[in-house]
Parts: sequence; C-alpha cells; structure tokens
Amino acid sequence: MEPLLLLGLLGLGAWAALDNVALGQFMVSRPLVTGTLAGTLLGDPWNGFVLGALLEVTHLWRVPAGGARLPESGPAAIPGAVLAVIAPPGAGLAAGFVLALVLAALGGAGVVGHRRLIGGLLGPEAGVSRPARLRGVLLLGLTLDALRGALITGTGLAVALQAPTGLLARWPLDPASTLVLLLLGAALPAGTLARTLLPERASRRLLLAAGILLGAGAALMTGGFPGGGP
Amino acid sequence: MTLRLLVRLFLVQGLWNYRTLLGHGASWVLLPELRRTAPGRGEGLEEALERAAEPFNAHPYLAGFAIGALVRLEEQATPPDEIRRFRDVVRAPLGALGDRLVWAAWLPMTLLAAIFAIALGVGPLRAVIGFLLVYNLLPLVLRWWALSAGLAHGRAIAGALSAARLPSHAERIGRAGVLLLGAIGGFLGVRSIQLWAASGQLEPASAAIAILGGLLLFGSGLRPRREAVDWVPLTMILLVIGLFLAGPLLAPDLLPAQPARP
Amino acid sequence: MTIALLRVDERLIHGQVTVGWGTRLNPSHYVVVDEELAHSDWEAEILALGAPPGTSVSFVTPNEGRQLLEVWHASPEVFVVLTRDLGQMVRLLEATPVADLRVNLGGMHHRPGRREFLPYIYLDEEDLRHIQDLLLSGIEVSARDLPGSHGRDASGFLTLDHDPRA
Repeated sequence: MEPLLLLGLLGLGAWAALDNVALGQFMVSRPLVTGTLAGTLLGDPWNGFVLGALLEVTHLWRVPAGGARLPESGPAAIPGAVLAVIAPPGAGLAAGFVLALVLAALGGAGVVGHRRLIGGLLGPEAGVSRPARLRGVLLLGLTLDALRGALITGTGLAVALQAPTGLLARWPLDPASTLVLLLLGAALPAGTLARTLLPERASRRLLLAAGILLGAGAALMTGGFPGGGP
Repeated sequence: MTLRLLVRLFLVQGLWNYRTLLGHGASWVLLPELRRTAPGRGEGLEEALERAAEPFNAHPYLAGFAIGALVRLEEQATPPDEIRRFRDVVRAPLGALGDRLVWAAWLPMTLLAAIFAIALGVGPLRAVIGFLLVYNLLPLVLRWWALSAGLAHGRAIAGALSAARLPSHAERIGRAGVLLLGAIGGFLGVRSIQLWAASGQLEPASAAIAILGGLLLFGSGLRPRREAVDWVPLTMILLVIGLFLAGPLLAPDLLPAQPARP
Repeated sequence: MTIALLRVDERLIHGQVTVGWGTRLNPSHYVVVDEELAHSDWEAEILALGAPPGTSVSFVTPNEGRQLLEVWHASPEVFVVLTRDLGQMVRLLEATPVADLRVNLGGMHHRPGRREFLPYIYLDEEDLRHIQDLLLSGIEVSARDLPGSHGRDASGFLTLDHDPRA
C-alpha cells in the first residue's frame, strides 16, 4: 500500500475516533461514511459502502444514551472495507465484516479506557480547577483519542493486508450468497431498529408494509445495482 | 459571547469521563464567561471552575440550553446551591429529548435515506456526502437554538423546550425512518430474487428459504424482548469463521486461491 | 401489566430510561419517587419534559409511593418507577407486601466519599448499607444501565473486606 494512501486511511481512522464523541459529532464516524470513503480511496466505493451499511444496520439500533458503552464502528469499518476491496469477492466481504466487528468491539473497549483515563487525569487532586491544567487535559485527551482511532485502524490494516490468501480461498459461498448471508445476519438488528425508530406498534406495522411495497416497486422500476452490484 | 460559546460547544464532550460525565467539558465551555462573572460573585476563578465541573450530562446538541442558562445564572450571582439544583434537574430532559430526537430518529432516518438513495442508483460517495450535509443541518440548528434559548430564558427554559415539541418531531422522523427501513427491505427482497433468477447460482428453494428466514429474523427483532439481538455480532463472527474453516468440506470443488485484486 | 422497571438513577427520566429501556418495555407511566421533587413544581415541570409522548409522569413522596406500590403492581398498564438515590428506594419498598420486586441500579455517579464499582455505579458506605437492607428483605438488586448491556448482581458489591456494617 502506498504511504500516502496508508496515511489517508490512518487519518480517517483518527478523525472518526475524534468525531465519535469528543470533537463535533458531525457523524464522519459512522461506518457508512468511513467504509465508503475507505473504499473510494481504494477505487471501489461500492464494496466499502456495502461493508459500512452492514455494520451500520448491525449496530444502529443501539442508542448512545447517557454514556452507554457501545462498539465503535467508525475506525473499524476502514480496514474492513479495505479487506472487502482487496480480497477475492465474497470472501473479502465476509472476512472484512468479521474483522470490522472485532475491531469495533475493541474500539468500544478503548473508548471506555479513554474515558477512565480522562477521569483519572481530572481527579480531585489533579488541580484541574486551574484553567491551564483543564486546557492541557483537553488537548492531551483529544490527541490520545485520535491516536486511539489511528491505532485501531492501523492494527486492522495490518491484519487486512496480511490476510492469508490460502484461508480466504476456503470461503465456500459465491459473492451473491455471501451478501445474502450477511443480510440475513443484519435482519434481526434491522427489526430492532424499527422498534427504536417507532415504539408504537400499530403505526410501525403499517409504515413497514407501505415501505416494503414502495421499495419493491422501486426495485422493479429501476435497473440494477449501481456499479454492477455485489 | 454567543459565537464563542457556540464554537466551544463543539468540544463539550472533549473531557467526557465516568466521574463527572459532561461536567468538566461544561466547565471548559464556560471558562471565558466564568472569568467575567466570578469577580462579581466575589469568588475566585478556580472556585467557580470547580463548581462548574460537578457531574452533569446532556445530549451534546442540546447542552447549549444548560450552558446558556448557567451563564445567565452566574451573571445574576445565583447562589451555588440553586445552580446545582438546576443542573441536576435539567440534565435529564436534555438527555432524553436529544437521545429520542437525534440518536433514535434523525440519525437512523438520514442514514437509511442515504442507503435507499444508493439502492436507487445514486453513487455511494455522493450519497454519503449528501448524508453528511443533510444530517448536520439539524444539529447546527439545534446547537444554535439551544444556546440562544438558554441565554434568553435562564432557568425558565421549560417553556421554550416544551414549545419546540421535540417529542412530536422525533415521532414524525421515526415514522419516516420506519418507512425507509421497509423500503430498503422491499428493494433488497425483490432485487435478490432478480439476481438469483439472472445468475442461476442458487436454487429457487434456497432463495425462498433465505427470504423467509430474513422475514422471520426481522419479525423477531420487532418483538419487545430483544435479548437475542445482543448476540448477533458474536454469532456472525463465529458463523463466518466456521464457514472459512469448513469451506472445503462444504464446497469440495473450491477453486485455488484467486489472486488479490490490486 | 406491572412495575416493569424499578430503578435508582440520579438522572431520573433521561435517555437511557426513555429510549434504552422505554423502547423495550413500552411503559405508559413514569413515576418519580422523591421527597423534594414531589413538592417542587418548577423542577417537576422540567423533568417531565423528558417523557415520551403518550406517557404520563407523576411525582410522589416515598410514603405516598409505598401506599401505591400494590396498585401499580396490579395495574394492567406498565409502570417505570424511579428514585434518584438508594435511601428513597429503601423507604419506598420498606415492608412492602409486593413480591418478586427487582431493583435496577442504573446511574449513581461520582461524588466525594464514593468509590467506583462500575463505570456508572459509584457507592459510599451508606449506599452499600441500603443495598444490604434491600437484599435482606428478599429484593433482588442488580446493576445494568441499558437492556443490552451486561448486568451485575449487586450482592457482589458487598465484599468481605468491605463490610458496609463495619
């Protein structure tokens, strides 16, 4: 991988980690965004998008309320998308998805550790009521958060780039069946997401039915997946 | 003052921690104002900062309500105990309303809209840029409005919050999200059947089983008891690893390793 | 239905309760049991803003709540009952005839004298005594901030080297 591309991916991972909680929350940290951007950097936005969308649906039903401890999918989607792009179709998507899920769990644990560290640095005896000290902890925290994101992305990239071709060749499903399998896995969280979106049952059923008809109609009227599809 | 506070509010979660939650972040946002108000209260800046850093939480986009109100209370030299009571009570609705409106409705709805747009033929990069532009409209408006209302109303923010009818907006956005979720499902269902029919790679029976399985799984996600969903990531990890390991047994005619794409 | 959630949470009606637990339990009533808030209109007005549409919020004292526990428990509707500290939860459940009650610890944050047991649970000696009181009355106490997160039995907080009665 070219150094400039590597730097771009690591920078995206760092930005995603910062955007997740500490800086701005513009949602650059969503896996749909980081996955698609990583895929675009590698010249294949479609596979990056598919991986990001699968991660999105798997985790989107969880609401980050009140400092809940959740998986961090943004930086994790980057190496997942890279693997989905560079490895053989089907096997790459499956392996990329698993890699991203594992990294998202690690990232979530990293967020907890980071919050503990900030809490320790801000302890009652740390003298943070002095403005300079408060600013110092803020800057240190932001720097560590960015490094944390880059570390997750970098670790994942190391795994993705070293993934043994022998193992990837053992994948038994064709690309279309692989996508169907992963979509099946996302179906349960998608149902749960519908509940998160609209807790009231009667309207939810009606709107879901209307949506299904709308989507089916759209599929019949439009051509194929953009970019040739999966 | 408003602009300076608004810019600082983008970093209000920069010091998020389990001891004070948003407390220290709020104290950093308030720092320039405390420099101004502390002498009038007859207290030192460090004392004021310590008070401002007590445990607090709110949705980041609505935190401006509390920050604006706290600036007003500090300017009016409100007794510390009264400020503390206000902080304690205001954090709950600012969290609940923001979580419902943004995390449970606006964010999923705009993401689903981007996914559906891609399904309809919009390029992934364009759809993602569109998502970022559309999504961020609401947070920008919320941040500005919350801070302005907090500064204008001080402790009496209940009227402004109530008049905005955020829960009703959240419900409407949630409805749009459910419609889009159904549309994505319907699109994928029909398109999968079309792909199978065209490729001939999968038997119609397998296709029917997959679609039925998807519907069943989707339906079980709709049920109130959703502990099963917590296990989806682990199940998927184990399933995919299992398929990699058992690959040659399941498909003995596997081709030799294909070369990686450049 | 019944009391679907009996929770100690300093933030009371906030996102974890209304979105996290609310979408799973679908309650129709949120009850805040608190001596001060039951007599403070301005605080109750602000707190009630966090409740989802179609739900009601009421504020009662622990003594009033104790009288109403059986009514809530036997009601066909779903109640979420909240206190902001363990002391008021103990007062609410004191000598209650309602069986099979489970107390959920959802958010008790740092303050001087408290130490961390979980990222969202900080307790002092008095809190531990209250947990022991609840356990001795046959009430299950566990910590879990959100339905999807890993729960922890609160009896584990009462370790041998940390006797709250000491």
